[in-house]
Amino acid sequence: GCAEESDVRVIRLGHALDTEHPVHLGMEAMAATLDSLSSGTMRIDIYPSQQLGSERVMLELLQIGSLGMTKVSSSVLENFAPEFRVLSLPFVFRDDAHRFAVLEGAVGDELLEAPEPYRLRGLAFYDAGSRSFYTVDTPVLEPSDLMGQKIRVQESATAMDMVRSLGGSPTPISWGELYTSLQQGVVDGAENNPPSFYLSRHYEVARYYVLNEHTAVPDVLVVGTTLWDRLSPQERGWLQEASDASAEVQKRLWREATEEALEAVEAEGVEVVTDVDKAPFAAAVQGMMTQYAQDPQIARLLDAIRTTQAPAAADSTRTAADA
Amino acid sequence: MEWLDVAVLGGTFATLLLLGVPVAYCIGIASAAALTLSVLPGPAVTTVAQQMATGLDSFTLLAIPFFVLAGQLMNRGGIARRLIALAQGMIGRLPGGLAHVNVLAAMLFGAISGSAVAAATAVGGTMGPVMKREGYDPDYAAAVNITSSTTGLIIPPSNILIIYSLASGGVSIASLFLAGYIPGIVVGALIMLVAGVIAVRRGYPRSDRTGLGELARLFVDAIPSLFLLVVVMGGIVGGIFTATEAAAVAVLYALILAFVYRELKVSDLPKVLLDSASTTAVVMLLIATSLAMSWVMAYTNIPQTVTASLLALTDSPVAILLLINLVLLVVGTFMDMTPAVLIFTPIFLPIAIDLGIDPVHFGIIMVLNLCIGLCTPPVGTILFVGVGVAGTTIERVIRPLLPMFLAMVIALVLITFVPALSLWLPRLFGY
Amino acid sequence: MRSDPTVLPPASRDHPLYRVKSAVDWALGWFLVILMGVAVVNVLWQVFTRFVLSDPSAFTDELARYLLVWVGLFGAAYASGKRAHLAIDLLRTRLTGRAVHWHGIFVGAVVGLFALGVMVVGGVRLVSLSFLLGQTSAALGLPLGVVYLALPASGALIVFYFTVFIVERVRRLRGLPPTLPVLLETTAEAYVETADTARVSPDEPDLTHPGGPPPPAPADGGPSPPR
Ligand code: NA
Ligand code: NA
Repeated sequence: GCAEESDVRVIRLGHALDTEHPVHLGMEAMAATLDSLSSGTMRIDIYPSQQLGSERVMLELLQIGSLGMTKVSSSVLENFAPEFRVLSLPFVFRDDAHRFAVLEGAVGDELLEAPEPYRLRGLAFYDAGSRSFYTVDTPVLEPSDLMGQKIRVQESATAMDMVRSLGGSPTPISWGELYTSLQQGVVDGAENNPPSFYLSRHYEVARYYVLNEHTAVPDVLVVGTTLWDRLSPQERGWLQEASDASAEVQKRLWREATEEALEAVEAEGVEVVTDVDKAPFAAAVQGMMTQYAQDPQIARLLDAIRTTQAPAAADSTRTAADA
Repeated sequence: MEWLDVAVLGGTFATLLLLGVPVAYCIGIASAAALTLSVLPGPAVTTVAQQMATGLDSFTLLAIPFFVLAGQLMNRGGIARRLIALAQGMIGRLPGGLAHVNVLAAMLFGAISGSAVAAATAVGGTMGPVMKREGYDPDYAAAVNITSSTTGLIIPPSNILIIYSLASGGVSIASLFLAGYIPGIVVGALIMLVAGVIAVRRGYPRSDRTGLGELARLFVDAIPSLFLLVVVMGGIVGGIFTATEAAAVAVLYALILAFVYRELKVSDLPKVLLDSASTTAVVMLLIATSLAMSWVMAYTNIPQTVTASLLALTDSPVAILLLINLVLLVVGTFMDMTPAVLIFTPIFLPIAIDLGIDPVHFGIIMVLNLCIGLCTPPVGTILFVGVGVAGTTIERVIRPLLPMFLAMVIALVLITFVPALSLWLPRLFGY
Repeated sequence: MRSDPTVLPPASRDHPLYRVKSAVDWALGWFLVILMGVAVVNVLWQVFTRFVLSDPSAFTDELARYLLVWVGLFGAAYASGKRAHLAIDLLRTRLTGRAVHWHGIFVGAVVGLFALGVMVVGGVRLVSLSFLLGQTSAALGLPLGVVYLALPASGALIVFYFTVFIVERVRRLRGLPPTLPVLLETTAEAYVETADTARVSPDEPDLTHPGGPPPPAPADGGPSPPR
């Protein structure tokens, strides 16, 4: 049908978020850029809201070859390319400036190319901010506050290990069921970035949000190599350029969304704690970090991340992670 | 281009269906055929296979085999018999008493088991012979049993509402379950009304009065069975369990009860497990291929195409709602409930939301609508089961079914245009 | 439940077609019993660890989901062997004599083609892709290929069952005596057969095959269709 009907190359791009989300808006910018770069010979059709499946399923569709591109959390890529575990580890980045320097530098480039053997290729990182704990009954000001608390985590071994190291009980529950689970006490809390906390309306139930920023797991824009290998060098260049441009747009929109979300939940009466001592949290996960660093690949990447320097302007508040 | 996809998808499906290929396979083949229009054959069949497997990869769906298993254990464990006795004691006195007993027992049984098929066999299997002996027309009895069994699909727990929750992208199951009570009772009451009018005109007998002492004894006898209701619904609504966990607990509870009543032996267990696995697998294959078809439809933008052309016809919410109801009624006559919900929810729900209809309310409308289809030929699961249980034929049961359909359609109109019937209870519990 | 089930001639039960199908039914049946049993225990364990141990198990959710994939697909194969999948019988009930068997062969071929093309070929492609690319599950660390293996395996079983049915049809066309009790000619009754929960008729549970006494079973053309 459509893909072969004319000179226009149609790329199908699926993602799991709704059409108001910075990711979707970033993708619309990408589609527009690609359209103008290619003078209309390349077109991106976006399938939002999990229409074509969960992030894991869409990655598989890329491998099968029936979907061109998708956006996934790098934690989902772990199950395909184990290198990505390093981005799910707690307190690997000193601050936002350091994180962007890493992801847009040599380490980021290496990671984006890492899934090539798995028929996947990263095109760009999208910002997904930093994740922090939100709870129903008491704020998590220090690790001991997590004692005996059931915390919802994503389906990721790293996330479970981290919550366990901090003293909580990790409980994997699907995102869609989380609201009622919080409401009904199936779990005592969860962790996520401010826009997700706000848009999911979890703040209606979980009244404490402490910005300890334990992890900063980015999103990745991925293309299947089945599609990538069919593109001419010129088309690849256009697609890469459009991806980079869309990442810039998405980053700006994300920052705005984060600020809006924090203001909005505070206006709703949520107790947002921004001034948190992260050192005790970072100390609590040291054992876990040592264990993960036994994998030479992870150790090498952690080292490369540590030695990456943020641009001078950045305020580098030292955290316990590099102590 | 979408219309070519629609034509291949619909044409393949309809042709194979009419030729007598099992419905689940018709859906799967149509999906694969339509996808090869956009994707090479290799990736196309791999994608359909992947969608079949990942469609079943859902913790929520596991509630379905568990509720079926619990229903089978209840059936064998003497729970159905106790509920029928209670219903008889409560309303056997009304004109056409046994018909009302059948409806009430189906509602009670539906309230503790998730399966209308189980209700149709358990209640119909017991009540049919009794009604015949008392001089009721067996076809009338079958019609009452067939239509009243569908109340079990609306009154929670309900497997089809679980499937709707999945298809709608996660509408709260607890909320849907709460929303089902009043509409289920409305349907049951209207069927009772029609059955009663017919019974009076035909002069069917009423049962003897049950003394208060006897009624109390029947109630006490049924308490352990009714307690299952508290375990399942209390557990889900109170947030103690997810629907799947509640279903597993219901299995354990029904199992213990069946052993206590000494109506089940350990050696019966493998057979019960196999029966429920095989019964649910029929539904699971439908779910697997229907989800593959939904995927193919999303991939080829069919929902958007249909929505656009539907909204181009009219923009009156009432007209569109009537139109959707009409389409679903027609769909329900030839399609089983599960694929209908999985395939049409992604198409109609966005329109409904656009019109300001609550997704929970829309779920009840959709399920009630398709309940009518379950009782109509050519494809009607409950019709087949009800006719089989009564030992009659579809031709003979059609006439007595017509007034019952009327009752169900009136209930459908009421429930469509009075949202409070569905939404009052969930709102009361804060959903 | 079914009226007047016609009994399969005793000699037919020694026929290889009957014996092979019974053996597959038996093995698949027990496999499903185990899967269902483990699924129930697994979810009860999830409840138990959360409420009693206050330490929710990390793997039960994932295991439950994968068990359902297996129960669903292998159960679908088992139900195919029982001809329990719902179909519209508008056409078939109008056919008589040899046309019934030709129709059965046609339906069997169509279903077999789907099982072979999508479930076996698509499934094998998916399984090999998953193994080749090393995708593992999040909680159990299980290769996803193992989960997907249910697709080609159940697809192959469905192909097997429909091959058996086609062979049986060809035998009937050649005037040979029936060997299979499952060629029930009405979907309504076939459906009641599996959906029925309070079964009155003493039909044989597959679980005691082979070895147990053979069941009194309905043969082709036994009960008249309810329409
Ligand atoms: Na029910
Ligand atoms: Na129907």
